[in-house]
Amino acid sequence: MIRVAVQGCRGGTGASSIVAGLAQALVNAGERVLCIDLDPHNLLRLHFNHDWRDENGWANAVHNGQSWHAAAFALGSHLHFLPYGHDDAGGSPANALHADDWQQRLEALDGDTYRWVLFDLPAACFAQDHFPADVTLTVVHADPACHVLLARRQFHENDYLLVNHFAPSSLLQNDLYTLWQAQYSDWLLPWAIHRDEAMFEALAHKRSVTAYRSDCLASQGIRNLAAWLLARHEEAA
Amino acid sequence: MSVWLQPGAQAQWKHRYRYLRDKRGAKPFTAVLLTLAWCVAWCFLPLESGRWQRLLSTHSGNFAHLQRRRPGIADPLRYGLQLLWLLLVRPRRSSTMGTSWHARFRPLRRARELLSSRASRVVQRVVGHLRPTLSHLEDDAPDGSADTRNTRWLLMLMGGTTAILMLLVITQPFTLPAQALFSVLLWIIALIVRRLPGRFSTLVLIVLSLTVSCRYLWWRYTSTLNWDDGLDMTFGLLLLGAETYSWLVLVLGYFQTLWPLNRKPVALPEDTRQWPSVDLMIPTYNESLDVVRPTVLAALGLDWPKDKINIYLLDDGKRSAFRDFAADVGVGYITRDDNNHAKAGNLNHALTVTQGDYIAIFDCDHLPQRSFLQMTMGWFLKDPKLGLVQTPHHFFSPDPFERNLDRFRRMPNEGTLFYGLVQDGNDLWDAAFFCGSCAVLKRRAIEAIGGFAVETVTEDAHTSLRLHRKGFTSAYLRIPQAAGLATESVSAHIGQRIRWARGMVQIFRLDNPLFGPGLRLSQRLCYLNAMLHFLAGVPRLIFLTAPLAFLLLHAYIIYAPAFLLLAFVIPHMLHSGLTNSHIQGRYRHSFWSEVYDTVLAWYIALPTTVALINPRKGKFNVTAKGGLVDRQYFDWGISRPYLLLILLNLSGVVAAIWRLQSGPADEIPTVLVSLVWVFYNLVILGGAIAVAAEARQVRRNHRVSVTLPGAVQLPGGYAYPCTLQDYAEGGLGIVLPVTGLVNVGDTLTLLLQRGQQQHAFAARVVNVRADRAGLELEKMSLTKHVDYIQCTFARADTWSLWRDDLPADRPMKSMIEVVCLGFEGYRRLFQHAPRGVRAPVSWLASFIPQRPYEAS
Repeated sequence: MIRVAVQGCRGGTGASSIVAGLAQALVNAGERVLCIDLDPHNLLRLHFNHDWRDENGWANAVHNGQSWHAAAFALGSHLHFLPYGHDDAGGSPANALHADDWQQRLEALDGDTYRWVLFDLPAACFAQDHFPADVTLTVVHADPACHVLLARRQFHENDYLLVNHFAPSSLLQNDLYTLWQAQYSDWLLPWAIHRDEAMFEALAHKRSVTAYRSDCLASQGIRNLAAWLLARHEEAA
Repeated sequence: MSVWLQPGAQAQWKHRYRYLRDKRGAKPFTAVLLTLAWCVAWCFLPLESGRWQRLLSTHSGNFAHLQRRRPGIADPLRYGLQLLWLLLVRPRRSSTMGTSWHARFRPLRRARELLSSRASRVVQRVVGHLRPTLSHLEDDAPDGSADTRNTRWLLMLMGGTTAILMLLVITQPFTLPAQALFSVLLWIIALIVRRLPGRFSTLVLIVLSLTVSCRYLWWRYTSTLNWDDGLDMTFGLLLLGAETYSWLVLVLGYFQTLWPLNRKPVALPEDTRQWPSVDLMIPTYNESLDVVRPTVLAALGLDWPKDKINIYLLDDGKRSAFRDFAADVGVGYITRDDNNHAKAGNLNHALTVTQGDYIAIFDCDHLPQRSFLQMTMGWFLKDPKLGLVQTPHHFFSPDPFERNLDRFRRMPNEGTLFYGLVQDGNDLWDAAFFCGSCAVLKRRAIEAIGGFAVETVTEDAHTSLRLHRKGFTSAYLRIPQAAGLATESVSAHIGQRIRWARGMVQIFRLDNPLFGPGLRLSQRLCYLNAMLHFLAGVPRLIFLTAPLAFLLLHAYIIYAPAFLLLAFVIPHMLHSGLTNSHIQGRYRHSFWSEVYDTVLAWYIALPTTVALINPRKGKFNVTAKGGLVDRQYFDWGISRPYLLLILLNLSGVVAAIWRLQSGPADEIPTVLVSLVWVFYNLVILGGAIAVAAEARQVRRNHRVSVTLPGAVQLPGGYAYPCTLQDYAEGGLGIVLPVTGLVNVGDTLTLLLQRGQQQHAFAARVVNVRADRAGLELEKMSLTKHVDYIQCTFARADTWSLWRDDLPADRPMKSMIEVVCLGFEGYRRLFQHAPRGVRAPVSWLASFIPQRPYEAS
């Protein structure tokens, strides 16, 4: 079981879209994937054509004393996802990101059920602990805000930076990207996911971008990501 | 008429006449005559009866080719001939033709398979025995660094003995059967050896070929000259001279390409402060700014510390637009008061006003790749005596041969032999020479020889000759690091070669590499061969006319029985052909040299002869590039000498037929041999003629075909990956993943990658065909333009366009191809012939019956 955590450097970088797209790309490659939404905004489910009024999720379940995976859904045979859930009364459990809990919960599963577990983490904030995973992807925009946030950031092993919504025609984006290539050469993934209208339309269609329009440029970027992950863990295995 | 004919018959007549006039487009007179002829036939045959109608309709397919053309007066004769022909031949099977053809040759093929399997088994066994020894030999470098005094003596002793034996083998006279047997034996050895891997087999093949060819030449000198007859002797000596020349070039060629060095680049030191400073010079005279601009922009993107590289535009045209352009992009602009000594003078002047340690020279239409300096400079730091590093001249666009014969990137082109093999072979002997562009020279070395040589029109080769004389070495890196445009037309190509030929012969006269100080024997031989190569014009013309001396003038140019001649000349040709195919096969296919040489022969014959007599005559003519062949045409001016040669050879054919009929019987074999020779000449001349039919070339900017990943951003914000198919200065062609994404007139952003850098270029869609789109780039700022050149022309992987995976040479296949090319030449000649010639020929051809297809 390979745990991949995806986290926005700040809000609105498109991390959930990438999780959904990546999940679909891995499934297309014949992998078994579980997606877990750890973001209280509870938006990941919408990429999987989930009824937006259905607000069940692992957080409600745990709060109500049920089993954590009671609210999991299946999208085909290979892709399962677990929404965060929303409960007006209870609020979010403080330990949503408590890594040890998730470690235990996943260990309880049969090892062969999923090869990949993707965590959609809420955007990074100061007080947050590092969420341990086999790969942690930090999604960034090539903009000054992310540049400042990155400067404060502490990098761990298996941390990677992924530039999303990249527009090479923007001088500023290009300059920052070049700067980061020099500054964060150990962490920056060698390709970016380009700005592509299909990425936004996909959510409007309640689908992941790789399922919505598999031949577009953003899908290609996400497929690169999937291929990179597969190759990385092929080697490890 | 109405008086004589019944109304019904009259209507038939009229109908027939109108049919011929309106449906078939016959002239009135013809229609009248044919109607009359039809009436005469009708008088005797009941053509209107059902049986006749059926007969006519079932067999009309056999006359299809006659029914397609406009009726002529001689049509009854044509129909008659076709009828006779139909009685004689079986109709062609339309679909099963291939199988029956194969079936007919099945026994032959089976025999061949049996033979070849036996042969390959023998070869396998021989190879099995030899391989351990061979692999041992392969490891030894040819310089023999470890050889001691003893082994040297041993080698000299062995060499001496071998030389004596060789001399014996060459000079020993044989009877016809003995010579034939000897030839067959050597040929079998050659056939076995050529399957052995590695360089050893090449060496053995060379030895075999040398033996046979030397024997042939010895025999020609000692027993085939008729000293008693003035005419015989004159023509005989001319032919012998030409053959001696070919033999010399063959032997020197073997020497030159014995062991291609295949030099690899040397890494530069990590610390860029140790990298030397380089002046990059782009000489130009009359080329347009459109040609020069990309070169300068590509040079700006070279990967080299910015404080250690200076780019200079050396403008002998003194044009203000160039001065402004240089100032805009921030490169140096050098001009001078006079224009003495053309390019060499231009460079020499630039040397006086620049300071860099090294000088990189690019013709104004050769775009350097970003890696050029990093690839080449390492050798200078490793070898302090090195004066020159040359890289290949590589072309984006097809040369006139490739374009007119439609063979671009389908087989090695004309330059591949030189840049792929000959220079690499020269490099072993430290004789790789300067080719005027895509090279780096050491300033100290140039200054030591007093600047670039100005005495000849090929300053490049002469300069490197002087460098070698001064004790500097040269290196050749067989990795294309720059690419440019090939010459546009056959006439421009010939003009360029005339200059090279004249220049090389000038060097031969003024600064002969055989004499003078400072050169090693091997260097002298390599330079000698380079120069001799350009003297090929006169010998080639002799070969193209030699059989006529016998057929037309009855001169015994080879005073020997025809069969003995065959026993000597066939092994000579086979062995040299096989060996050259073995050595050069990847760089030039068999028989193509004949075509290339023949095209040039006439034109370089005179200039080289003049330069040989008076080397100081002749001026520097600039090779025209970047032009446009705007319509398909036949270059009659260029092909005139070949038409003359063709006519001469055709008259030779006529004479041969006459001699076969009325000449003495004992001359028949000689006539037949001459006839074969004449036909060979006709085929080669046909190939030369084919080149003269200039194919159309519509684009001013040459498109470079590639397969590169890219992406497009469409107006609505959608983005798609795409594949770049071709690029040019102003536009590109892409393939999109789905159809219907773009329309003509859309503006979009094209994303291209250069290293890790992404670049966006605004473009407009100018044409769409299914998933393909043609883009035209919007006007770019200077930095964008540099980026564009860097993403396309100056990419560091242009070497991948250097096709090492071209089909290997298969001599027989290549021969068939050249023969087809010869026929193609005559077809094109006919196509472009004036009406006065074409009309009677096609009129005569219309009488030829055609074999119909079997009705299915």
